[in-house]
Amino acid sequence: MPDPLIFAMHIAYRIGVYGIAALSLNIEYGYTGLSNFGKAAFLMVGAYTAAIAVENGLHPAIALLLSVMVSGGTGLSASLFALKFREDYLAITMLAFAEIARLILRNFDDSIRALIKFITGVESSINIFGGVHGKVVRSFISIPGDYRLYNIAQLGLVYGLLAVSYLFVKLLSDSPYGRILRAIREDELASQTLGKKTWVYKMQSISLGSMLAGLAGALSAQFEGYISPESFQPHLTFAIWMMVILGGVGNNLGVLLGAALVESIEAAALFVKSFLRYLPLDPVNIQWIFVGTSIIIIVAFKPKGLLEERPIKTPAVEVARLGYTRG
Amino acid sequence: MAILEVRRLSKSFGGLRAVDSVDLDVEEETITGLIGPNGSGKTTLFNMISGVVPRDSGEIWFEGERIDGLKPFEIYKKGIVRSFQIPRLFWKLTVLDNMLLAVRRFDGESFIGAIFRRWKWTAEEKHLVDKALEILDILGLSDSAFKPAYQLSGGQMKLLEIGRALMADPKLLLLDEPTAGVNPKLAYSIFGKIEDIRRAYGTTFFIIEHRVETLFSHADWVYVMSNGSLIYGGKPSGVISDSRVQKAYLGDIHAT
Amino acid sequence: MIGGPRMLPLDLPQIFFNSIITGSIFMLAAIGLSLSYSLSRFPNFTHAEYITLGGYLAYLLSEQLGIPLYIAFALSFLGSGLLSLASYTVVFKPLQDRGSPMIYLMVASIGLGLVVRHIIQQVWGASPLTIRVVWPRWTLGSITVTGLYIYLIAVTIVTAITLHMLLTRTIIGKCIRASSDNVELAFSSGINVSSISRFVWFIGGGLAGLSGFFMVAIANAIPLLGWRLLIPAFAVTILGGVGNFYGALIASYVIGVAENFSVIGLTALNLPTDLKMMVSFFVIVLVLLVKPEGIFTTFGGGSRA
Repeated sequence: MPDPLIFAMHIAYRIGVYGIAALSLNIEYGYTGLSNFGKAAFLMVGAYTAAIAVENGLHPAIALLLSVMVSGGTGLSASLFALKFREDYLAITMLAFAEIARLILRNFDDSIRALIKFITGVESSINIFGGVHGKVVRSFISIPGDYRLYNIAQLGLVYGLLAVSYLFVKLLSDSPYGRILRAIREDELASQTLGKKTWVYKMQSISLGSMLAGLAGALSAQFEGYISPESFQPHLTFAIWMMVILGGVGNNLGVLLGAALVESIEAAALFVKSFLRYLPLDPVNIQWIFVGTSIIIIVAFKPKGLLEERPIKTPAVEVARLGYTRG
Repeated sequence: MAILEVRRLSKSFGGLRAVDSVDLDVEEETITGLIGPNGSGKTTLFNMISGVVPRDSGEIWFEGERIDGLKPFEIYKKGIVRSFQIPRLFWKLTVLDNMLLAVRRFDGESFIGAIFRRWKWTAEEKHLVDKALEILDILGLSDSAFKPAYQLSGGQMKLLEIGRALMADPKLLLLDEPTAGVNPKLAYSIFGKIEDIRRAYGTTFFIIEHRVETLFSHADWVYVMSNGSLIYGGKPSGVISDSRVQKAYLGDIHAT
Repeated sequence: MIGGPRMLPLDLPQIFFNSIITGSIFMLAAIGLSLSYSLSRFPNFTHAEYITLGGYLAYLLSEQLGIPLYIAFALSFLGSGLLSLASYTVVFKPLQDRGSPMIYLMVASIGLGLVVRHIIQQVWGASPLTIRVVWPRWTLGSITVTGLYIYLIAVTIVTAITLHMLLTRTIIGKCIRASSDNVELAFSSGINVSSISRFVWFIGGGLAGLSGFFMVAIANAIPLLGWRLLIPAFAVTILGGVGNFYGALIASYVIGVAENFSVIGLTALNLPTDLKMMVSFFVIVLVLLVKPEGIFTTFGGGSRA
């Protein structure tokens, strides 16, 4: 029977990671109204970049930085779709993009080896991504011997970065920039007639969101210790969507709450699975049936989520508001 | 002094002569009206002045400079702002946010600037907030400043639309039916606010209206168009008795 | 000789035949998606599960219950059709009636897909399941043809003709075309758009089920069966134009041909043939960038507003 404290710390860790991922979707969908159905791909890019980086001896901090940059770059290229495509076409394209990214990753090494053989006849043993078998990831923190301390250190890492991410998103949203993102969400054409270059904002929104997603992916990879293309299926994207729509669209604390709630569902299923030997039903299936049903119910009855979106609070506006309520 | 001068302006769409050699002047700091039956070319005239539609022939002068042929954004920069009939507001954002979005900003609008140059844009924003609140005050919208725009009444939305246009410090404001769909009493009060703004900022107003009576009680000068041509230009009091106007409007005036 | 391609005679008849097979499956899978997308104004991601259910019903009925395949076939159609109809009536229509924006409908369809897929996975497990039916084989020249392929082609032809007749000769068909073109106008002309929608969702889902049936008969059944076909189905829908039956018909075979040729290329370079799905992705992106209404804006085409 697994140590309940370790189990709890693992859950807490995942909540931290999902929190960062949910914040990233909050920028894209919550504030800018973009339907990114391919979120998992950016976590995947971050995860694999981190894995390859530490594998090649790079310092964890560099690995993290690289993950963020590479996933941000991927986001930048994917954001080109956001410029011209309407919300349904964007959703379809991003979903397809994510699946193709997974497909390429899964087949990359085989393909490279095949091409090398084709061109030079040499049998190479290149294995960057690990294909279907996935990759073992070395963790960023090394505290041999004391598993509890190790986990505490990991939690410190993830929650520290979560705090930084939260601050980042909050500062971004409570600013004229955030105001424009929301304006684009409300009415892109009106924003354009007011002189705002909406395409720039949309590209930046997805790029920034992707950077955060890459961070989440990297942190997750080094903690779980193992990644494979199967870890980044659309399931993941839509779990993150549920976090945002359940917790509060456009509300940063809300999406963190959503992350905690959705991860709790996963934790409950895992708990049942590891503690009960014989079960007629696979808790994982029940988990996803529950998630799917919840998504439908949320969309039907409380699509904005539990916590409402807050008005934009820049310092100047706040001062004025306080002046008003007083006078 | 005439802030806007239109000379022999014409525009045809296919075979239809929408605007036929129109000459008019709009004097500075006046409220000048433009009326006429449906299809008389009023909106097309506005479209040409604001650069949305290119003219076929004729000239448009603003503050002594020729502006025909300029793009809408350049005309906006010269100080002519046009507001449209149906307000395209950002419904979920506050009234104040709507006002603040109406201006071009510099530092807060990039994402680096938003996070790292907070002190710089905060000062600029404070100035803009003060300006916005002042305009909202004149328009009687102060109480709603922090409410989301969808909570405004129809009339208030019209006023907000005008308020947004004013954030750009326009010298000339082109209003296309600012009181459409609003009850007479509210229409009157909107015009009252327009006069307050004129008094406070010296803005010139050029207004297309169907509510002839309300316009007449507030306008300094009125132009009448019919079938693309200008058939009258003068004081409001002279309009109704003018025979050409009577002929053009036979049965066409909207009773208010 | 350095490296070199795997020597493949370019067996055009085989490629052509494979394209017909692939195209036919795509057609059956995509028609329902295209029509429901156009009528209900949103891309339905649950469509994948209509395909999957059809496949699993085929397995259930023929492998587990020993029912003859042609009855299993009809029940696959019926089962998926009913699932599709139920999803419209219970989930999507109520959301639409409340005025839900498109994003909510899309997200709901994802949620519903999760539910259905995991119920299927709970019942049948995640391992691949196969139907062991022996089909007669013939060789025509260089091509190997099994009875199953003949069956598929026959079904596809019958479906295409039936739908064509339906769309052009019957009142209901005219109503579908009208609603596809302009829902508001159709509605105000007195067309009962709800009934038409129910009909289209049922038929579309049923056809999707048939594509699942054939996929399982040809290969095997896995819970992600439908998702494997979903991206090509979207490619067909977008290339042919959303709501455009004839466009989808042509697009299915175009993409079928493209995929099969890409397989040739991939095999020649020894690359994994899985990568053929990239064809669908490129089709989606290219069409949306260049001509979002689809290449075939012809008669019968619903142009999305």
